[in-house]
Amino acid sequence: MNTYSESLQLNVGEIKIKKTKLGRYKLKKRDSKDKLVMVVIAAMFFSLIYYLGFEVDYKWDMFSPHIAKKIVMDFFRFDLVPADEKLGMLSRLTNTVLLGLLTTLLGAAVSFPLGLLAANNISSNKISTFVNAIVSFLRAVPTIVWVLIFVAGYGLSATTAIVGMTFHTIAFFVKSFSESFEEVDPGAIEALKASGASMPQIIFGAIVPSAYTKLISWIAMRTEINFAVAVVIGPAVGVPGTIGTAINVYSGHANYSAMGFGVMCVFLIALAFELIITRIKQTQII
Amino acid sequence: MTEQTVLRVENVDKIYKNGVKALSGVSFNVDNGEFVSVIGPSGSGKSTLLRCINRMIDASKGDIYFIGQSVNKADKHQIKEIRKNIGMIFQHYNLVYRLNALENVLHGKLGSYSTVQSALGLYTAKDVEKAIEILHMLGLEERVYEQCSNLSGGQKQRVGIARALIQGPKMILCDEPIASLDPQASKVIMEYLYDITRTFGIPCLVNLHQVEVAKSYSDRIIGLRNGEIVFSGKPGELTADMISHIYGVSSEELIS
Repeated sequence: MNTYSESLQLNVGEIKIKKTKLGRYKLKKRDSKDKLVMVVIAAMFFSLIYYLGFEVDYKWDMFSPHIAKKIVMDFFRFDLVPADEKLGMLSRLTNTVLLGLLTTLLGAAVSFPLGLLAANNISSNKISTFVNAIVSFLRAVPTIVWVLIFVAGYGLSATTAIVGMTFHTIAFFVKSFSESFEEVDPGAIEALKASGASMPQIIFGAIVPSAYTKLISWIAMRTEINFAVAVVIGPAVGVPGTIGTAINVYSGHANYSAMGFGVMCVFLIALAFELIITRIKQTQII
Repeated sequence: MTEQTVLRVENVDKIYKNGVKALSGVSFNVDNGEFVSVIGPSGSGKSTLLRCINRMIDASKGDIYFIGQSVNKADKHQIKEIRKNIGMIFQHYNLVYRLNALENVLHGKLGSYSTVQSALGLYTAKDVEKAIEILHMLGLEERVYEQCSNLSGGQKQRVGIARALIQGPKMILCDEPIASLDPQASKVIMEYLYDITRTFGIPCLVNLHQVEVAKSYSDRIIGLRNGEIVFSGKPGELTADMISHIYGVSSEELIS
């Protein structure tokens, strides 16, 4: 042992270790990529300062202390909202949650086979690249834009919202499902292959059981996202009977307590989703 | 070739796409009831050789005959039949850890089921009974319904052996079955493999890193170096000189 550490000490003198300008030893080798990242961050930082400082028109003169005070005072006065309006709001909330769930489940059902095709350890390289290319294009366009595109076909209706949201959900799920499939231990796949199992048998025997909890947690996460989208999609394409539309109408009528009640409902549902997802993630790690 | 010969490897070469020559001119036979070890340094082609036998990897040249059937000329259907008849055991067990021991053992039988049956888990009562029987035989009767991620390394490997056995294999290939196990679990696994060869007469071809283990269990040892067979003989014939020839260093530099 002694001789070994002695020889080590000897080597430290001989090996040249690069130092930074501050005289510390360098632990990383920096290359042009790191510099590029620094340049981009600096550019974004300065453009943000320029934009906030010189470009934005703040319109402070439009600010009315009277209205601000009314909003703050009325926002949490849920007692000012009549009971039948509260009930109506709750039924609209249910609609919104269902819209989120429906689009997520539809999307998941369509994405499962597409996800298998997009996973490069299951399908061929060509098919996987092809599916991934299409899907990344679909994903690059935001949900709300897809919904607006479908307005052309289905008009301002619930169908538009469902089709548009499902469309983007599929793009999201194909990517996340295929990545979950790709993370499956290649050894387990090899073992089943070596015992004479066919590809569908490997999918149902090894890949799906291994990726199962990940798929569930992706679906839970997307349900939350789709709920949030369902809230804002209502006023955007005029889906009647969603909470977003109701909040929008109350805002127009300056009925701030009803608006506050609606926002509180949305917040509580979002919180519930968050708690459920955390729970799923905890149980998933096995 | 006698009636006894299960596997005949003839002049097999394997050159990977990147130009690496993994095997060159490998020829040997494995007879019924024989326990054959393959030793050699890392990168000597042991794993490649094993995977050429059930055609997980295609050999570049030469041919392999498994019970008289050419492996290299086999079509898709024939390859499936060959694979069904060869059990394989892996260093990292290669189980589906989210499933329990029983389900993993039954995976060995997937090849004989239709896609729908296997997707719904509709295994026959006979196969389930057999799986439980094999798990009992390997001392895992308490662990039948245990999720595989909760098993110890030795237990996982026993599930791996059970998965190979339920196939009713005519031969078992083991790719470094004890490389990730502690000495005691290693001994248990080697004893089971040895017993299987002796009691059922199923020949075993085992890749090993431990020369001493190979010496004490094998009927025959094959030494690979740079993809070529440099030794083939009884354990008694494997001298210290030969070991250093296989590994390319003097045997004092090896941990036995």
